[in-house]
Formats: sequence, C-alpha cells, structure tokens
Amino acid sequence: MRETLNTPFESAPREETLHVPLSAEGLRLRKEADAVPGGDKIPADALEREAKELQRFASELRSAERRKVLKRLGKMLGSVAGFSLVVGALQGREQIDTAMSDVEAYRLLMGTETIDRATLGKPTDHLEGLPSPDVMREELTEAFGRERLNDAIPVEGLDRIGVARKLRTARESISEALDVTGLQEHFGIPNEALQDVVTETTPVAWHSSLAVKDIKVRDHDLPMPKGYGSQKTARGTFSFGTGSHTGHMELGLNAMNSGELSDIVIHELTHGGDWRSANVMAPEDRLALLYAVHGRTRSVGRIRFPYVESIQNPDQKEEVYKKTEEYFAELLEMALTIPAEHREEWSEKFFQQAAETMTDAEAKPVASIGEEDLRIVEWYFRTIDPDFRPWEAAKQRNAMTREVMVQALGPRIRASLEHVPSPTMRMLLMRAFEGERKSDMMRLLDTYDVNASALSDESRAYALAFDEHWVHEMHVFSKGVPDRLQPAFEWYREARDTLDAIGKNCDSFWPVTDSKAIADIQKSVDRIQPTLKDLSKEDTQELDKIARDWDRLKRGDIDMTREPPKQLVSMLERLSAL
Amino acid sequence: MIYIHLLFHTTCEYLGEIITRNGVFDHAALSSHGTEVLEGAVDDWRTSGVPVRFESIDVEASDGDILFGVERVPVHDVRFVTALQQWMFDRGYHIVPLKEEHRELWDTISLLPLGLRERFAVAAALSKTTRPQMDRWMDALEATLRVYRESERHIEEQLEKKQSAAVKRLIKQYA
Repeated sequence: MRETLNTPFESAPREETLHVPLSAEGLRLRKEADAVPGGDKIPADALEREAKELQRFASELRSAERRKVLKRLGKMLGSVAGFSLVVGALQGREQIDTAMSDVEAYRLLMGTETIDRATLGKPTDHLEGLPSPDVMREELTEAFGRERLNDAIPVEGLDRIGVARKLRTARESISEALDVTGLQEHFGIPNEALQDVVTETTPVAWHSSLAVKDIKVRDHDLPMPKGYGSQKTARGTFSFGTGSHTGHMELGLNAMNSGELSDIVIHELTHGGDWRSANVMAPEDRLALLYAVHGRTRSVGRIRFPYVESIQNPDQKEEVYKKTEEYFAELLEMALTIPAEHREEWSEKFFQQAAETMTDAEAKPVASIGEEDLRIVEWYFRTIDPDFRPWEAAKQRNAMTREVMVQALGPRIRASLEHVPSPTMRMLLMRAFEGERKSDMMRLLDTYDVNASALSDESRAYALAFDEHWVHEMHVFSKGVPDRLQPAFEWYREARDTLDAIGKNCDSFWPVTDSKAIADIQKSVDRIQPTLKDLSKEDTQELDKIARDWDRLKRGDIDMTREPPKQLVSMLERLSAL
Repeated sequence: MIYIHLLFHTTCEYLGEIITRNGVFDHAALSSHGTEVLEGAVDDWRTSGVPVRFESIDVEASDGDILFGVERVPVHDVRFVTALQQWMFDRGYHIVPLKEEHRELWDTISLLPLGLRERFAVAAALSKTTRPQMDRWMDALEATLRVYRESERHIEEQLEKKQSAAVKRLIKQYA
C-alpha cells in the first residue's frame, strides 16, 4: 500500500522538503549544502534539526555578548551620569523591572526639570500642601501684622503677571536695566565686570525685570539697617524705592575685603527677587513663597543660618518678618553658590551644607534636613526662570569672578610681594583665591626647594589633610615622620609668616581666614611633636605600607582635592588604628 | 527650541517620537508598533486636539462640587507638551523628553543590543544629561558600540564555521 502510494513520487527528489518547512537558518544550511556535491541528499528534517542547534548556539553567544555590552555600558554610563538607576537597569533586570513597574517611581525618575517649561509660558506647578490664599493671608497677617504684610504683598492692584512675563524675556534691555557704580572708582575693578557677573549668572527675572536697578559700591562701611537689632555694620543693603518694584543695592567696604564679594551680591539680589517684587512673580506665587518661607523659619528642621538666628528686635512681629526675609536670602545664597556638575551633586552638597548649620541635638528630631527648603528653592527657580541651573551658574560665576579679580588685583598683589624672597612663594601668593592658594600649596610641596630629598609622601599626605581640614589625619600622618616632616613644617611657617606680613599690608584683599588657617598648622605641630617619640617599629612598617598605597593613589587619575576617595578613607582608617 | 519626546508603551517598548518646536507639535515619527497603537490618536490630536481631563470647582453650587471634564488642547497650543504628557501618563505609557542635541546619542543607543526596559532606562538617563557630560556619554557609547560590533563579527565567524562543519557532517551521514 505504501509502495503504491509512493510510486508517483519516486523520481521526485527530497520528498520530505514538501512537508518540513525550513526556517531561515535551515534555508541557509540548505543553500550551503546544495553547493557541495551530495549535499542535495540531506533530508530537510535533518537540516532543520541542525539549524535549531545552530540557533541555540548563536543565542548563547549573543546572550553572553549582550551581558558583556550591558556590563560595559553600565560601568561607563554609571561613572558619566552618576545615575544609579541606569546602572541598576543595565546590570540587573530585577531592579529596573521593579522601578519601571511603578509609575510613581518613573515620575520620580523623570523629575519635573526635564520638562521644558520655558516653552510653556507660566509654570503650572504649585507649592503643594499650602492652604487657600485667604487662609495664608490671614495667618501671615497674624504673624507679621497687617501693615507689614500689605507693604510686602498688597491686596489690590497686583496683577502684573503680564508685565513680569514681558520683562522676563527682555534680555536685550539688561545692560540698561542694571547700573553698577563705584567699583572702578574705589577698587579699580571695572563696573561692567560686576554687571556681567550678575546678568550672566543669576535668574533672568531678577535683572531683566528691574527688580535690581542699580548697585552702588561705597568706600566705607554701611550701617546695619534698622530692624535687625544689631550694632554691626552691613556688608550690603537692599531696598525697594517707595511704592516701586525696582530695587537698589549698596555694597560696603567690608564686602570688598572678605573675599566673598559675589556671595554678598547674590544675597542682596535675592531680596530683589523675593515676594515683594511684583515684576518677578505672580501675586498668588508671591503669597505662596512668603507663606512657605515663613513656615520654614518656624520649623524645628529649619536651616540654622547664624545670621538669621542672630536677628533680634523688640517688636516681635518685626523680628519674625526680618527673619523670614533673611532666611530666604540666605537660602538662595546657599543654593546659588554651590558649584556642581549636575543637579544630584548640587542637591547633595545643599543637604550637606544645611546639616552643617545644625548641632547634633538640633538635627536629631529632623527626618530630612534641607529637603523642604530645597523643594521651595527648586519651585522658586522653576517659577521665575525655568531654564536657570543654579549649579552651572555658580561655576560660571566663580570663573568670571576669578578672572576679574586676577586682572584687577594682580598688579597690586605683585607690588606687595616684592619683599618676599622665594620666587616660588611669590607665585603662590599671587593667587587671588584662597582655594587656589591652598591647592597650589599642595602642588608646590612636591617641588619646593627647601630640602627636596626630605619631602616624603607622608608630608604630602599631611598637606592634603591640611588642605581638607582633617585635623585628626594631620596628626596621624605626621606621627611617624618627625625628621622628614620637619622641612614641610618649616615651609608652612614661612607661608604663614609671609601671609601675615602681606595681610598687614594688604588688609583689603586677603581674607583673615588665610592667616588663621596657617596658624592652625603651627598649633597642630605643637600638639604632634610630643607624640612622635612613641612610634613603634610595627607602626613604622605600617606607615611604609600606607606610603606605598599613597603612591598608588597619586599615580591614579584621582582628583584628591575634591572629596576623599574610598582608598584614601581606608588608608586614613588604618592610620587612625595605629 | 526643539524637543524630541520619546514615546514608550507600558512594557517600555519604543513606540516612536513626537517632535515639538517651541513647545508646540511639529511632527510625529512612529515605529511599526507605534503606528498600530498611536496612529489613530495622533491623527485625532491633529484634527481635534489632545483630550485632557480637567477638574474645577463649581462656584455656583452651594456645596462647591468638583466638576470633571475633558478639554481639547490643540497641537499648536503652548500647553501641548503638558497635555501630551498627561495623555501618556493616563494610559500608563511613558514619555521621555530629549533635547535635539541628544539626537546623535539616542541614535547610537538604538544600535546597541539593549532590551526594552534597558533602552528606556538609558533614554531616561540621557534626558538628564547636561551638555558638559555629553562628550563623555558619546565616548562611552561609541566605545561600547565598537566592542559590540567586533564581538558581533566574531560571532558571525563562529557561526559560519559551525554551519560548514554541520553540512559536512550531514553529507557524510546522508550522501
């Protein structure tokens, strides 16, 4: 029966190909087989079995390759973006599955800043958790008094949001809007330099809206305005004209010699951008801002800005209002003067600085220090200038200020250094910025020709510890190397003496903190010397090992001046155990 | 300013992109699956606007009832991006906005053997990338792409060898 049925097909080759459909891989095999003599005799099912085996093999290879690519990409992008979720996503599916299955997690991941609000007109988000405008106004009236509140945010005639929008985009009028005087006349620094720093590194709304119309630099100290209950002089002042929404700033002589000129300017500019300026924010946003900031000043979790905490006034409501005003200015000054590569780094530093203002006892009941403040800050920036990135602005401002200071003060500093004998030291002290002088000090330790052969790794480590103000590590690093460390101490003594001498001649330019920091070295040396005799042989061997580690660290591409890398922390822990 | 809004399904499958210029719709480019899922919606947006829900308080009602409704936001309205985002969120879809300058990086990412969720996560990270980091991203992606291509070439060679060996074995068995 079978033979009968098959007879008509006996001459047909590869009968089975009619019944076994070949996959793409099978067809490839068929093509290769047909090109070889005898290959046409291979049945289709055998080809397909082999094709499946080949597919499995290819799948294994590609799977391994994919793992390799993901691992590599995760490692590289993790270091580039600092974006832990990406690393998680690329290195383990479980984490990303969990994260991505949750829409809230996704929204958290995306954040609000990724939306280009600049193209959307007025931002649509609001500070959450606030009561109705009527309730806010009622509570603020209770806190500040009706008159004071009405001065800040009048009830009627405030709907000038259209004006604010128009001015916000009026970048071309910036140079006319902000007028700086006195800087060139009194300090030899071009007025335009400060004008540029302000207009290029602050939210557009601040300067394009005439919230700050002019900055006058004085050659004398400014009296502290009334209402702060303090006898101290002010570094800068800010005031709105009567019945006006344009502001005026004054900077005193003591703003010039503190080395923090740009920080002071930022602080005062903030006053021009707070809830009083109808040109910057819409009425409902102004009320929300004032309410939210006032809430922060009363909170146990508030950032303890020393200046704000020091404000006293016999009029309780006046004191509360001044504290609210200055809290906002200090908050924005902090946020605007933290340079960082990206938002994550910036917010991390923000939290860190906020925590540093609190004692352990103050910090204990607070669940998340600075978080609420940062929420207000970010909402504020989104509201007034959605494109503004405070961390980038801080970097740019530092660079611009540095350039200006070097250009303006360089010749005067050079003149004052004529009596300094060492050319290396002269180069070091020409640096206009404290941070640069410190890092140069570290670098010059490698080359300074006091007694080059005696400068050990430990002394360099000591210099780093000094640079980072790690008092304990300074002590430890210097423990085992009395003979070799001595030249470094001598070098620091010379630095201190020179800085002191220059400080006396150049009070206007050098911050007092310089000589204080150098003097701290001497104190440390005095403390360390008695302990040097106690060093055991084992301790010396351990120090040698650490010195070798140190060498490895130095050879690596690690920026030691920023934050202590893990290896260094481990090294310091081993040292501490000695 | 031009933005590329990458659209992803709830499964994180890439559906295509909506390009906006100065906050309003410019054009859409959908993948094959994106065409199946979204083509009708995009056509509807173009003709009638993006439907988004809104809530408001009925001030005339004595008890201040909350009213819910649907508003159509035209594609050339400055609220288009917000409306698009809400529309996507409401359906569980994901939308990732990229700046135009990220385009080259995204194109490079598309060449890598990433899974749906992995590609989505990288896109999300990319949207967070600032200009100073972009060069390093490109270096990282290009280096990875080079490794991938080299590895792919090696795999093809191995497969060809194994295929030839298989054919020889089969001929020996059946010829």
